[in-house]
Amino acid sequence: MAKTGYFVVIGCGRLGSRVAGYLSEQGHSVVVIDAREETFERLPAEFTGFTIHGDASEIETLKQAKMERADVVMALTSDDNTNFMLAQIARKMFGVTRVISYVHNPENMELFKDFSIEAFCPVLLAFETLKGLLEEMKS
Amino acid sequence: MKVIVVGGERLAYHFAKLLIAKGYRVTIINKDLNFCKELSKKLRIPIIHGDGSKRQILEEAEIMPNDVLVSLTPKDQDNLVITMLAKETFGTKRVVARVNDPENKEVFRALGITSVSPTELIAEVVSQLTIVDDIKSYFPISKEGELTVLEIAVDESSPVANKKLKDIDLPQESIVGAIFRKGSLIIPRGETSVHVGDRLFVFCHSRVQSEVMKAITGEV
Repeated sequence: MAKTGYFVVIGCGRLGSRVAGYLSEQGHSVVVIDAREETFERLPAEFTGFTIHGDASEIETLKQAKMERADVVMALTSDDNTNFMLAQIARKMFGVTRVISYVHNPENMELFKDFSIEAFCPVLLAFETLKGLLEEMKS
Repeated sequence: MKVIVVGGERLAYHFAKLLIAKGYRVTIINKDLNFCKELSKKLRIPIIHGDGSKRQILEEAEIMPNDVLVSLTPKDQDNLVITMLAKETFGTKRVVARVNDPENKEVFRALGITSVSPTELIAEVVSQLTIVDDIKSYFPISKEGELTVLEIAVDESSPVANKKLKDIDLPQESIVGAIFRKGSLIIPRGETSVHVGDRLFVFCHSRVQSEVMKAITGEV
């Protein structure tokens, strides 16, 4: 990827809004999509990208976001199956090479892995952190 | 071989009944506990309460490669995960997904999943019902559906009967491309007259098709 890229962030929750602000700060072009317009109020002052108020499970919304031009798509909605479908659409329909999905339920990690979708699960990450802290306490 | 029906409330119940009547073995998976309880009283088939997009639930349903899985939940993303999981993880080749947003049909196709859109089926039936009897067929041709070919029969009441094509007031984005008269084909010119009993093939932009029908049949 070039020094600066085009990012599509789907889901403007606590994580999505923060990531979008960070990407703007880094000089990237960013589009944030969310079905609930009020979530855009979460976007930090650093955010300089565009917002699209629409349902990302509708292809029309993704076309509007010029997804075919995205270097990276981040599927960060609150629903694992939606994030799975978005990853599939981004790759198969829009030819996006890099898609990162948010997985809420740790049991679903296997599904994403089976379909070679790059994914992360905050519960598992938090668990690793806690395990590290517990290890520290032991010593 | 059995048919596994995932999700879909009333539709699942009636669909299962229909399949059972046809002699199929059916297993139902549904997230709604009360619905599962109700079904278990009505149908003597395996009913599994759970989320069909979870591997262990499909395992519980004893899904096999030669089964057929039909996913009827109201969310396209759930139907996608369920059918892909069945297909890729369990090797169940015959899977069918309900799509609610007709635009998503393309997505399912790209991922190799057969899908059915109730929205489109209903729209199709409605459009067939609303087309007047004189119109024998109507088929959108191009992928985007902007080109439509209408086959319209001309009867005595038609305002175009016995008129020359050049004198017929058709919308800009339409043209009469062919006329079938007593079994033979005529490629018409402006001087060609329209006779009662002719079948006209009109090429037009789909947005003017109702104007075309009105111009030729006199009816809306």
